[in-house]
Amino acid sequence: MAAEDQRYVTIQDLAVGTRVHLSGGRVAEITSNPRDGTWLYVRHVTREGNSEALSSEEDLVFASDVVGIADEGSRG
Amino acid sequence: MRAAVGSAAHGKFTGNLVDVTTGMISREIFVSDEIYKRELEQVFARAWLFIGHESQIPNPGDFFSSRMGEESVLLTRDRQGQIHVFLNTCRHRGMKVCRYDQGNTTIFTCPYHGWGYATDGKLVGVPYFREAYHEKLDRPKWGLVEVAQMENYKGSIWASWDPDAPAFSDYLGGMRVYLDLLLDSRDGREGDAEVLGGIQKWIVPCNWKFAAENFVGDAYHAISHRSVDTVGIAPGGKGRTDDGTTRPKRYAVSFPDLGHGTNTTIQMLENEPYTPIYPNVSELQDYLKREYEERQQRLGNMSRLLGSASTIFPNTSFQPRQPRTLAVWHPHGPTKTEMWRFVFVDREAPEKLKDLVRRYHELSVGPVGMTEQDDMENWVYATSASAGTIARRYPYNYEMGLGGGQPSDFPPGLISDVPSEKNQRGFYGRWAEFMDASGWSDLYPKRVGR
Amino acid sequence: MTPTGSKASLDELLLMREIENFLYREAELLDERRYEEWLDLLSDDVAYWMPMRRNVKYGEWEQENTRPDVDMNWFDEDKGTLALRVRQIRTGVHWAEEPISRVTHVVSNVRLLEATPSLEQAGEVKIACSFIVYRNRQETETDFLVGRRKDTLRRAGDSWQIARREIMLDQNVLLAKTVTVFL
Repeated sequence: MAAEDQRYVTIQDLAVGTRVHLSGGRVAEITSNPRDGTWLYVRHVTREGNSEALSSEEDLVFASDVVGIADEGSRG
Repeated sequence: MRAAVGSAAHGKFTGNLVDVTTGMISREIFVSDEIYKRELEQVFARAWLFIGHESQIPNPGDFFSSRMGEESVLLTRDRQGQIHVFLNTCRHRGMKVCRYDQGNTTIFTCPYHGWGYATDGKLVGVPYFREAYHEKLDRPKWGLVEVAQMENYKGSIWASWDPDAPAFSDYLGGMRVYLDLLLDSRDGREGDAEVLGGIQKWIVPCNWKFAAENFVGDAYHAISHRSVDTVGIAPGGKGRTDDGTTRPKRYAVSFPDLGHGTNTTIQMLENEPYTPIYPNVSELQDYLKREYEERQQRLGNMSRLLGSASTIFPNTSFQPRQPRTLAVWHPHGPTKTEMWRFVFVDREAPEKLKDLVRRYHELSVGPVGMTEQDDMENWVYATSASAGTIARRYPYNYEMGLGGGQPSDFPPGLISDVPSEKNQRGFYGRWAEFMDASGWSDLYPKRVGR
Repeated sequence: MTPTGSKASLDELLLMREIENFLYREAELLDERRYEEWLDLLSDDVAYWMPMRRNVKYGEWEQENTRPDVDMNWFDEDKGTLALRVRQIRTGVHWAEEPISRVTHVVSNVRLLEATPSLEQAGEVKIACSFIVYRNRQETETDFLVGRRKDTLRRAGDSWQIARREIMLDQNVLLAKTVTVFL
């Protein structure tokens, strides 16, 4: 995917479990998608050493902060 | 009578617009812009208004778009299962945050700048909160505007914008037993009704009070429905309705200190035997007979109370049996009303019965209904023929059964013979009190002996 | 058979012409207030359905229309109840139609969706069309009811009968105070 396309990820189509790149370099996993093309509920992917975890707090991420798809996850 | 709008007669805004002692009511209150604008403030921003029914939002995240007065509101069930009623407008620039009639969501997102509100009304999403607001926006202060009071009465949801309004049960007063006829199960159990999918909504160029007063107690307009009575749409084939009532007697019942009123049918005897409803549908007779007898056992003497057309002040009307519907007359202007119709059925009724009930209502009520089409014609042309300079000089006549009314234990309320216009006078008397009051302290506690 | 909509055969053209004639004839009967003759165009088992239309979120299309046999619909009728509506107008005291309205049905965009068992021997057809129903009553009261229909027509002798009609009226809040016309 070209970089300029990534700035307009059609977030309303993303499935729960999909991981997305956020502006600022963080990665987050979608926990709920209201399909409004505006917001995604996510948990941030955190790393401690080699192990990976999800933040306990849910966060809302705004459309323009989603810059790309990191991992499609398991749909459905 | 020439009723000057806002005249200072008696030191009240309504002056002599509404004179319930002589039964004279000015046409101005049905056509005047000025009076209408005052109604929105004095009546609709104060009173308890019907919003919807629990069965329309069974699951967390469910919502139903409703109205209060001229404004769009959202009936929601939040993640914790709590029910709320919010004004449907973004706190940032006012855009509607929901433009769907119903659905399920985790967030109401404004499509203008993107502010997002949770189903409990909290402002949870503000685009560029860090970059543009520098995290200084006090988000808890900028949630959706919630009604001052909300009540879930047997599954029916009501709300008021006025924190000083009395509790809903006090607002309802003695009218409660008649509303129960709509909300309780036909076998007498509490609640247990549901609203069928598909809310009738239609625009009628008439004043909203025509519909409200028609339901509050107008048993005089039989000729309006001559055509449907002649043709016959009742389940048994004759007339408008045949709800298994034997030897009925009708009363007008009003609560003039609250503005509510109803016509009610009662059965003469407590142990009246079952008369078949939907007589042509034999497979339902066991169910309907059992339901009827259980109602008698549960309610005793009160099972004789069957109800009929009713209005809860100001703009909620209902019929509790056949038809079994609730209507809201949403004002859009002095001569324009958006009418909504909810059809009720027992949640546990057999599917066959639900189907018959549904078809009966499709045939009977609302803009496509064979009964009510003729009401709309009357309300529309009564409104337009009352708007003229000359027409406005002549009041409507509400003299029928002037005075009248006696307190009664059964049917409970102030009863009059049918037909009379006692109920309508009570409705407009209360309307005038609302229009004149400076606040709920002038309106409640109820004054005795009106 | 399912017509492709591309190059029409002569059979298809003849069938289309016949169907269009039928629809125009039906419209004419309604506009001329010949309601009993219109009822004769309905099969005894006719299903006449007009849902209410909701505003729903993109993709939640199953919620968009109220469902026949389940929800409240504007119409979900059979021949018996449609006949009642005709009789009501014929009383002459159905105030919502007294004095009677002036009505014109415009039917267009007629499309043949399916013919069974074949184009040549069509005994039943599914068709789609668009409609504009103009109603004017009293002095200035005017309604435009605009939408699309899907009809199932069944051959009856040398004409057709309407066996099923789905009416998609393109309105949410009904903008007419009453619908006293047949669509």
